[in-house]
Amino acid sequence: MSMTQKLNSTIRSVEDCGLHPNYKNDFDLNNNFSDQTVYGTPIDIEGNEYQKKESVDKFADIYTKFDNHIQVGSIRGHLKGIVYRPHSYKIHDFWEDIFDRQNPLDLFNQTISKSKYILELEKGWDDADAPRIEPLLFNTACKCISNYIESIYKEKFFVIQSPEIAPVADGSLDFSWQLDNARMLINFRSFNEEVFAYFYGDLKDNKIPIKGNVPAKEVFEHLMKWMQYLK
Amino acid sequence: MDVKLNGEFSDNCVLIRNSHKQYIKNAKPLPAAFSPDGGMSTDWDKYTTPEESLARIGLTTKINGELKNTDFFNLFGLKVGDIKMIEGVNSIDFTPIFHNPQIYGKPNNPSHSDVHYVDVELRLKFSEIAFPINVDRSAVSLIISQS
Repeated sequence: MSMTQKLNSTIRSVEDCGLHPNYKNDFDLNNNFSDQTVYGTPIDIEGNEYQKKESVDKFADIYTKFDNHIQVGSIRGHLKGIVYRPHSYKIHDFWEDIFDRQNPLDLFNQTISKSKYILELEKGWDDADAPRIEPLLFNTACKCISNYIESIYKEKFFVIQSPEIAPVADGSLDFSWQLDNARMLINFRSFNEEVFAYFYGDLKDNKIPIKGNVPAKEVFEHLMKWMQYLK
Repeated sequence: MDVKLNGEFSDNCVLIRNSHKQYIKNAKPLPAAFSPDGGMSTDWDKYTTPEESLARIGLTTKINGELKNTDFFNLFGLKVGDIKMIEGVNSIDFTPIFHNPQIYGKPNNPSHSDVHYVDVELRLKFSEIAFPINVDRSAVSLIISQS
């Protein structure tokens, strides 16, 4: 069997594990362990870089597929499998209860709805000379916070508190959390049509402070991890 | 780092900060209420009463030329001792404003003081050390009408 065939076979096995709770695992446990092509990337003594890269990509692909099925297929299958046992009379999909029926953004969407008045503020809304808040800034900032809320939910299965949203006299936008155990302020500003988030947060008594700035268009793990304190 | 004091500010001195209703939630000021414009403008309680401070707002014009409505503003106090405890405050400067003759819409302010700082975090901290100041609004109206 060629290397590619072996890998394809492995991929199928991994997919089977994920997709079927009964584990139709046809992985050959009697493999010859001396056959290095199955249990590791072969050493390319000919120096064929293309083949080396291809084999690495294949392995990466396997892990990705496996990871996806672990997250979606097999867990759901097992959750269902538990309640399908004979002593259980009620067929119930816990997966739906835990994941499908809860929208992690429900709370934050309500906050956004209440804050849409900000888009209607006209120049001088603070009785001084504050500029209006640009819709692009408002939308980008709300999307950014939504992304962080979703990322935290995917990782920890809880929803963080919703922030207070407030316009600032310089045309920027504040999202603030002032909780019993933690506080954070994220200020969104535009530079050359790109929105940046300037943030500061700490726990009670100034412990575990975090400070810095990041582009608003993607989720940064260090900030996402810290924001988990805003539970 | 020590805060540079340009003026004889004792720790018990109070700096009065006016806040527009847009920045107040549940009677507390949001961090947005402490946004600096160069420096954060305050009034030093050594040289003004809260009523005089609010009356000056009522004598200030908006960008459309109308005088500001004092009903839209509340006052909050910041103790100098508390401000000095916050790392990142650069200076507190006593910067009275005086024009002779006085300019309509820009009243003289013998108590004006600026707090200089840069970072986002300070606004968050100011909002937590600020305390509300009660104002006799009828006295404010009287001061405005006599000016």
